[in-house]
Amino acid sequence: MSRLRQVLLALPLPFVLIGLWQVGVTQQWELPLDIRMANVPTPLAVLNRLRDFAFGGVIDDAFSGTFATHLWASASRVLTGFTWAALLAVPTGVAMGRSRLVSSAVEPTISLLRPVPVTAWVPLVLIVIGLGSRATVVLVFLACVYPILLNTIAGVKAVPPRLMEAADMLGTKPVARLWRVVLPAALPSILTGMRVALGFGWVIVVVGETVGVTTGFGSVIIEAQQTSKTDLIVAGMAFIGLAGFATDKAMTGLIRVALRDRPLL
Amino acid sequence: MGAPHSETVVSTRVSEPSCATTALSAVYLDGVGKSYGALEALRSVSLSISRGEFVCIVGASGCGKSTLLRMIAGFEEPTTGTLMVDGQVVSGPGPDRGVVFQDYGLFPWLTVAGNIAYGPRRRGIGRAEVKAVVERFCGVVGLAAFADKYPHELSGGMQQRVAIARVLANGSGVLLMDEPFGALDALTRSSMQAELHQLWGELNSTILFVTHSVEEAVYLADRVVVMTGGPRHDTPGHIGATVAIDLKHPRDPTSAAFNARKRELLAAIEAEPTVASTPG
Repeated sequence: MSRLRQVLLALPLPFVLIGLWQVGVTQQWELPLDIRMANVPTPLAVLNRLRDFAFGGVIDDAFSGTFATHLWASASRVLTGFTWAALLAVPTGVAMGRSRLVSSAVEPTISLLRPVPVTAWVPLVLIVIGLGSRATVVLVFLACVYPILLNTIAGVKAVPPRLMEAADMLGTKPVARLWRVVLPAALPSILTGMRVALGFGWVIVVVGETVGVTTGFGSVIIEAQQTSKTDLIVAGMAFIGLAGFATDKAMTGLIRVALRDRPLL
Repeated sequence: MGAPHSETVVSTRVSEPSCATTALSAVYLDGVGKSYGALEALRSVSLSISRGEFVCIVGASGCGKSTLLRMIAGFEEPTTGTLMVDGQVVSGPGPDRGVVFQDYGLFPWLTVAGNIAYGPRRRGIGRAEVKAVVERFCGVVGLAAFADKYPHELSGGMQQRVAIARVLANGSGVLLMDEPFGALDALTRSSMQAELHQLWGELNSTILFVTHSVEEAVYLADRVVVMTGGPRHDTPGHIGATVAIDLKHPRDPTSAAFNARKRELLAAIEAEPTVASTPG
């Protein structure tokens, strides 16, 4: 019943927005900040484009039925960059969280590098690595590495000393503490960092794909801009949003499976 | 060796440990002291606990009773003196000494069964045997129906039962309990005291139980060690008195004899600490 209530409460706003959108475009509204609604595609045009982009057969241009290709291109870049970031950041974060020596040696450098936004890395990365998929992967890596690293450090530092004592008095060998106590206790925090990182990854992949690649959602919307296909731009935006949403849902599902019904420390 | 006694306790004093008791003692401390830098927390603690004995340590906060327990557990090293468990010098924590913490210290990512199985699994015991041990000790502490629950799904009293089962399942002969019932409500606390005493009778373990409740100590212990001193008294913590509780079980906290022991202990706790003898 309350579930139904939630749905009923959530439904009207999108319909109102789509209605305003339709009216605004047909009436050629001029909004503040020079927003000219005449240049916006109608909801129907976008819907047609979404269908065509996904399955083809409606518009029949170079983008018809190419959704899967672009989704695969973007998703594989996100996952590659994310995986490299996790492989580097989790062990580094564990070492920094466990050892004051490692932390003192590494933390100041990271604090200096971290404030540089990933978007500011773009020009340098494009020159050093060159145009292409690899540059985008590196940008995703840069975007993912900090949230995973910082959450891993925080999670490892927050492991209650009591649990270490409990493990010790029950006969845990010192070398096994990492597997038996530190990682299980820090896991919720590490997974949270990964979730945040995946979100960042989807943001940055679009930025990276606007230059020098011909596949991926970012390249789709840039090419659509150059050919003034506004319906395709909005369709691309919608799919980027959906892909990020689906990835986040998959990640939270994975977290739920990994943690079962244990509490987050 | 040994600290001089406060003169307020006369009737039931127990003799000081001697070297002859070392081999028989489950826990043996001789002249144990602990300093943190310039701060001397404990001085010259000598104590011998026999196998199967139930000893309570009482004292005001800051007297070093928890420090003493943590040293026996192997979490901290004594600065001076000798500390032996079952005739072996203590060098770090180990499964022969099971610790029960006030805040339980259960692994939140493991179920009740997983927590109880943790110690036996570390000792490399076979799967079937671990299962049997888990079933047995879930039953011993009355949690058979909760084996698949996680700690956060249990009440404080139930979590502490799991913590007790966890060290019993690990075959720990010596139980070190640091104010284990301090976080429980009064009703749960008194039923846990009765259960613990019954368990102790059945399992023949040696228990060293730290508490700040005099009533709890008189209810549970064969012998109560009163610790005094600490920063408030400007002397290092040390043993002020040792009082044997020779009342029959089950003990009645409302009886005159019970209250006489309580008064005796309270007097010993409140007595001005004598300056502990210098470590030697």
